[in-house]
Amino acid sequence: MKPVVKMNAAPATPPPALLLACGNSLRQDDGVGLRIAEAAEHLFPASRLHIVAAQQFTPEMAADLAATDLVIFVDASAVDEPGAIRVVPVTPQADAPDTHRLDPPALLAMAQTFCGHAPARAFALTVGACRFGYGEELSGPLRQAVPRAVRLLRSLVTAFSARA
Amino acid sequence: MPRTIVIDPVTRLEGHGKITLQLDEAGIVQDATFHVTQLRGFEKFTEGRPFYEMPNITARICGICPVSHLVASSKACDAILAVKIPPVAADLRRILNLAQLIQSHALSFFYLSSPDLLLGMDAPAEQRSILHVAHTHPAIGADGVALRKFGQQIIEMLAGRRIHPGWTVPGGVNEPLSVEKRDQMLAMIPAAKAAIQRTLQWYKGATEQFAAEIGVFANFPTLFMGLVDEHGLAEYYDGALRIIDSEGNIIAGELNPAQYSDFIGEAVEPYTYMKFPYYKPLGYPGGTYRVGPLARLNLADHCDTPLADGEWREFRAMSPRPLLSSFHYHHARLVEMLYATEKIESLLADKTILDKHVRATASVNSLEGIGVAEAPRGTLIHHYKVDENGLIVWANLIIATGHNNAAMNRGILQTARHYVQGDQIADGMLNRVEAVVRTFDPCLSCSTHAMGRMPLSVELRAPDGSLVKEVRRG
Repeated sequence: MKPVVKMNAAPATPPPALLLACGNSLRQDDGVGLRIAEAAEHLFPASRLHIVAAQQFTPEMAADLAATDLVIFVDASAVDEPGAIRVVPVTPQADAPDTHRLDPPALLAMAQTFCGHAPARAFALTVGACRFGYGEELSGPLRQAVPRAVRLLRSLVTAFSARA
Repeated sequence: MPRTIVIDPVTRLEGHGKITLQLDEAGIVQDATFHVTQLRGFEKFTEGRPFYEMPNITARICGICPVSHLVASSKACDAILAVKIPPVAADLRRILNLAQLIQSHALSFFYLSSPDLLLGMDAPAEQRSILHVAHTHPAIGADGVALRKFGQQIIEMLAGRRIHPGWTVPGGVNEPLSVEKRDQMLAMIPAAKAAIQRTLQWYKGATEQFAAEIGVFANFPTLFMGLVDEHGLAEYYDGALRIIDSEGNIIAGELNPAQYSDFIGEAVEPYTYMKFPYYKPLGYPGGTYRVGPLARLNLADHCDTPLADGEWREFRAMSPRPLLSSFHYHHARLVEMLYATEKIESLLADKTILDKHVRATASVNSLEGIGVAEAPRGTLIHHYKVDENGLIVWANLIIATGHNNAAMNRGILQTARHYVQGDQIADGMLNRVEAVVRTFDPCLSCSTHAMGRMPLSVELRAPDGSLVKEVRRG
């Protein structure tokens, strides 16, 4: 039996692009992905950009991925310089590393396996972060990075959703 | 020489735990203890906060079932307001709570336990994950993904977001349901029912191979506790508490949940932060009881939705008395998912669900409030005391995992005695010891959850603390 994930009633018309952001808003810079997602809410109408923000990437998000041809994962990076923005293409990785959580390559592979479709274009947009203590405030470099990341996000969606 | 085996951390649970197995000189397990090594502390640091903040604060206890805390906390706040909330608000909270049950059960069954059930307890550790299930059993995995998404979408449509929604408030909810959202939810119901029924068919045909595990996975007499309505039907939002014994006799019922402290005591052990609730008249540990899906199906007289009632009858027909093995929690979760889906459908089909008056307003009218609801893992109790300004002066939370604590410890001991043989620390054996804990689906802390496997170490230690043997993975 071919697996098909249905029950995807919201949004009624699948948007052409998906923003999948994760982070913990109570852990300072770890919440930068969520801040970017909030700021991106008014960039495009919901029919053009569907935004999902959560604490971490989880398997059911494969169903969201299966409904789009362009996805941009947004998260904090603990390895880059604070405030440094990086955009890299992501490809499905079937043999995902054994981690505590799902990463974008594994999620793309799950979309392909479970739902029969993975977006043709997938990017990871990360922002270098340095403070992960308790608190809801971003550190200075990240506060400054959020509007730059949003502009970059707008460019990605504009450029690639038209080509997808 | 007596030795100790430590399993730390226990994998595929919500939160972090550790198991210690004490062996005697012959390598026989003499004792087993389940340690919860994290301190939650919400009862203490909420002191001084306004009571109306409690739903949103306590929802942070858990990233998997924040809705359960929202519901129980809101009910406790309703009691502080001393209001009867609008009926539609209660029904909307019911739908939210049932959607929470579906998504949580889907996570437990498909993401955390299906690798054991589909690939076998002796499968290599690196294969026992939902990612591997995606390749070996994609249809079942797809149903799991779809069902979790189904529950989360309903939560999101009602409450605005999937995790930590703030829609449930003291006095009701803060927004009525729109026709569009109702119709969107109703449109998802048939596919959800079909997915659950497919899973039930597969599961019922697959359990024969787990006869040994069914025999020793916390398979012993205990009491069972859960909510029922005035007709003895399974109830998840309101109702009275019923306690039955292992023969099915109602030994206490129907009890007013607001008087829980009259019949529930909490014992403390030095090796864990988690308390041990017990039924007071029988003392500790004689008053050990279980809550959650297995308990609810054991103690209810029947279900009030047709498909789930049929499955419930089949479930109960497996034994003339209550089912005692905690392995059957898995089966019970599937029946409850079907019930929840049908119940959501019937609630949405009632046109009053669109009523606009969804919140009662009042100030502090009572200095104490207790809210009780059924969370996916079992009965959840929030109890607050406030001053005349509505500031919290005392709080007590009894979560479902706590109710099951004593039974989990006994279950670990029973399973370990069967599978652990001295120096022979095979990974499949360790997984069975963990798996008995997973049947309860314990939620140990918790604001995030571990999907997949965490590092695991098993240590044999001599009484003087020296390391005799260690097995590590991850």
